[in-house]
Amino acid sequence: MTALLAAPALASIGLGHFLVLSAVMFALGLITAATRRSAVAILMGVELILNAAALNFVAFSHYSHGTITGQVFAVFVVVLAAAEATVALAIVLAVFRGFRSVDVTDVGTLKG
Amino acid sequence: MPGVETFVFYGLAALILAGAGGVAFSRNILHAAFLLLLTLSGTAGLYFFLGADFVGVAQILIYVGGILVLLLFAVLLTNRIGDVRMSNRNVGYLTAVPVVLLVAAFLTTAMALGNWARSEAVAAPTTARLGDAFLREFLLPFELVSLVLLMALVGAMVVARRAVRDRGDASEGALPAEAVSGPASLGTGGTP
Amino acid sequence: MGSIPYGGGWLTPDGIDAPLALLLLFPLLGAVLAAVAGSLFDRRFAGRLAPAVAVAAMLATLVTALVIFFGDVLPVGARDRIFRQALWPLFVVGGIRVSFGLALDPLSAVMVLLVTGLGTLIHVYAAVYMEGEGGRPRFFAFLNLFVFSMLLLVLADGFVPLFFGWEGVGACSYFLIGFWYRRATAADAATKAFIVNRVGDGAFLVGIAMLLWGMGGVQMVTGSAPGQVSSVLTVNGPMIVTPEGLQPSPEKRRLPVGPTLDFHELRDQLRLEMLPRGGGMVDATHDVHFRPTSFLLVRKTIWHLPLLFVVCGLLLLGAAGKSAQIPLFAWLPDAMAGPTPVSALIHAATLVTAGVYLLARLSFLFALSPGALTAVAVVGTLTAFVGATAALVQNDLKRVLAYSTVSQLGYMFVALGASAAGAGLFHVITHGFFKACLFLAAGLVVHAVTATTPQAAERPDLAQDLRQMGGLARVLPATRWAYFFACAALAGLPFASGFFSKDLILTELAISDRLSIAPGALLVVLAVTSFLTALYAFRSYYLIFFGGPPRHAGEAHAGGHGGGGRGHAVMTAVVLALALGAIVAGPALGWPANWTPGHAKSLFQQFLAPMFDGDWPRRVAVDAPPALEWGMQAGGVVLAVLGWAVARALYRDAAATAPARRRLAERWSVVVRLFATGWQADRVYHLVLIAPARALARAATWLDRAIVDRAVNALAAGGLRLGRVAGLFDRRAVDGVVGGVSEGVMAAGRRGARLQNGRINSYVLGIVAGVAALVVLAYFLGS
Repeated sequence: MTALLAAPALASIGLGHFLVLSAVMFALGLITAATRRSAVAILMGVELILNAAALNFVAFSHYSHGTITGQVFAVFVVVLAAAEATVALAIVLAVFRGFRSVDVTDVGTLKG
Repeated sequence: MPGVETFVFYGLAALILAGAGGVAFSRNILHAAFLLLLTLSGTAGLYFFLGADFVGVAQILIYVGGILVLLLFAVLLTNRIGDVRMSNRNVGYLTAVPVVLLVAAFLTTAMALGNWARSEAVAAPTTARLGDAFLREFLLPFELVSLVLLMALVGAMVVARRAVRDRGDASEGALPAEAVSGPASLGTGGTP
Repeated sequence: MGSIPYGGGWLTPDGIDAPLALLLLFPLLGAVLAAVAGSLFDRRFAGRLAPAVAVAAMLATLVTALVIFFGDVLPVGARDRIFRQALWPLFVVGGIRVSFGLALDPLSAVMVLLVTGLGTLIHVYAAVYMEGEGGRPRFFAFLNLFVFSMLLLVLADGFVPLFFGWEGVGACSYFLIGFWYRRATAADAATKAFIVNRVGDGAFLVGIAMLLWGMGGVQMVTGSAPGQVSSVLTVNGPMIVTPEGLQPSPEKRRLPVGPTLDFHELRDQLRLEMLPRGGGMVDATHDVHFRPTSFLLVRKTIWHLPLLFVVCGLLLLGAAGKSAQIPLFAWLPDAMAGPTPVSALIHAATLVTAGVYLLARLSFLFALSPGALTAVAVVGTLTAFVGATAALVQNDLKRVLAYSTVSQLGYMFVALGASAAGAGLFHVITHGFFKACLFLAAGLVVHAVTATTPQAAERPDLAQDLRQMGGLARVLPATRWAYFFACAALAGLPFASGFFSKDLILTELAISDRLSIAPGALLVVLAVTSFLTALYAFRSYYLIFFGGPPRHAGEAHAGGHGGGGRGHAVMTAVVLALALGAIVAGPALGWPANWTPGHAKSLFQQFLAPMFDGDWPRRVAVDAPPALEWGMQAGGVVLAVLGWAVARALYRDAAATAPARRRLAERWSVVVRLFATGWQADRVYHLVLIAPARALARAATWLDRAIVDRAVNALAAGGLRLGRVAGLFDRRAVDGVVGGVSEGVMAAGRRGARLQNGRINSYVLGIVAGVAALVVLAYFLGS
């Protein structure tokens, strides 16, 4: 295990580094989305996840000589993240208007 | 002696992870929002490190300048101004942590143990190439994305619009008039 | 065929065909016509059609009987007097062929003449007597039907037709006794008679069945191997007795051997069985070996008793039921509830003699069992005594006559027990005459009493009371003399026929050698009975016709039965005719042997000889010594005169002797009461039969209630409990399971619904977990 951890740290930066980083970022974003009570915070977590994915794309694009597809998709991710954030926050505001709160535990009327 | 790339990378990574950690575990949501700014910036830096100049710029412009600002607006609008220390942790840690840890362990192990090919790209401006790709191979997704943006625009307007019609026309954008204490919205000085 | 003297076995000759069914046809037709036409044209002929038809039918029957008798029976030789008419074959069971046929031999001929002769006279009387009564078609139809049944009984060639007639007379007796069925006494009396008869009939049937069983049953071994009996045996013809001994006659006959219900076949088989080596009738060279191993009826025993004793005992019981002997006699006094002609015909002359006829017919069977003969004689003697004692103390005239009948029937049974069936049948004839005469005269007497005594007219049962009578000699002169001679016949005075028959019986009893007890004891009892007979007979005579209140001579003709003077004359004529017969029949038919120089047999004995003289084993003394005969006759006359004298002394002037008689009756009141109730016969019936039957019924009811009902209830309760348990099971277990399943599903659903907790966080985790699982799955499936 220590060899596993030590080796990449001292080697030159390779694709694996980026991938591990994005995985960790993904995990943290997941934790946020899974544990936060505020809807806005959950949105932040989702943005983190999207970012991790975009980073992955770009890293792959860099380490694949000659292709630029990864970057294209990274652009797509960014744009779509924007669109999604817009709509999501519109929903959050509408919910706030109705429930006077954005705490997800308060807006659980759809529960079984 | 590791090269400068290593330091740069690890520095940026530290930034990113610090920010992400803050977003995940910070008690104050305003702090979480600003730490997200840190993360996004760090990610942009990494893009530059990777030679994706256009993407990096787009990241800063859109993510930081647009989305983050929007999030901040949302945070400030949905919490009382005087009391910006809301955001507690959820009690769902018991179930969330194992799952996440599991997923994370799996991912990281997979990533780490992967035998990734290395063929570095040459650093070169990418804008032209991106433009080319958008209008050649990825024309359809490009168009669709523009459509999605339009839909998102309309949808956001519709969702965030005030329910009562006689309060006048909704303002452009997603900002409810109610949150603004004071006079009626722009446009008409119509009926309140 | 040659004349064959007595002794030595002989077989019944093949019968001569004769139209015997005519004798049955006329009464049957008469019955049907009387019933149908009599009812239909009842009003047109003022109810006289039915009696006319009945009398006409009887006349036709009488004429036919006389024609057959004088034209067919008498001309033929004594040994060949057997006439047959086979009617219908009924069925075949195993080895027995049962058929319905008629046979006329001397015994049947005597009975036929008696029944038709007396029957016709009584029908004429009844036609007048029942004038003005309602339901006459029914009465005369049954009267004719009765005659039909009786003729069938006496003409039967075997047990089967006999039993038909037996039952028929019983049924007709029931109908006729209960003619006035609206009277409770009549209906009860009819039922009693029928049921007591039935008891006898049951014994009769069992007796027949046991006889059949003793003969080897229905399955008969057939074949011609040695030691097996063929079903048909070829034997020599009638034997010829020569000074050298028995010699077979040349012609052969075929004799069926084995179980049979035919009287003559049975008699022949028993003769073959009794005689050593078939009496020489079977050829030694014949290829059929006669070894009746399966048919040794005389040797069979059952329950350590000889079979024939048991069979004869049962047949005796059956005969006792019909002929009112101990223990089945209590029905006869009660049967007087029927009309007087019925009593005369049925209960004096015909039905009650059916038992005597049966024993006479089967005398060959009884002859093989000394025990049975003794039983018959003892029963007869006791019955004669009991009947006489009872008749002595009755106050109802018809009951006196009824008990008298019982007593006289006892005499007939004594005769049969003494192996003197001929004497018994002679007494049947004489008794028929004088008893019928007495009954019909009693009818006239009752008429007269009803007409001349005001209170008797209102209460009919008083009309028959002897104490109401008296002084009727002036009112009914002709009837009085007829009654006198009939009483003389009954008592046994020498100038009337009863003397001849009664003394013959006692003489035969004295010389009988087949009894298991000494006849002396029986003779003593019978002597006392003779005295009592004379006593009660003349008691009734004097009480009716002498003393009493003065009555106007002319009134007897008015009112009541009889419809005036002409009818009265007809009835009196009948009574006189019967009285004449009562006087004449004795001397004519039964002139005693010791009054003739050559000690010849009387006409009657000669006529009946072929029937009974062939009975094996033969009596040692066939004829009585003359001294005995003279002694018996003298003794009988003495006893009769004595009885007459005592009666005259006591009852001629009844009013004068009344106090003395009353004192006597009070002193002997216990005895009087015993006699009056027929020695408590009804009480005995109650104790022996009715009380146990009721106790049995009560026990059965208890059993039913205590055990059966409890069991059923327990079963039901158990079922109920089971039901409850099942219900419980159903509710708890089954419903529990079903409910539990649904509850479980709902609980699972509720628990599952908690997944939808409304929190986005958990949804996000769910998505991630699901996607991760899918990825893993895809990885492992792909690899």
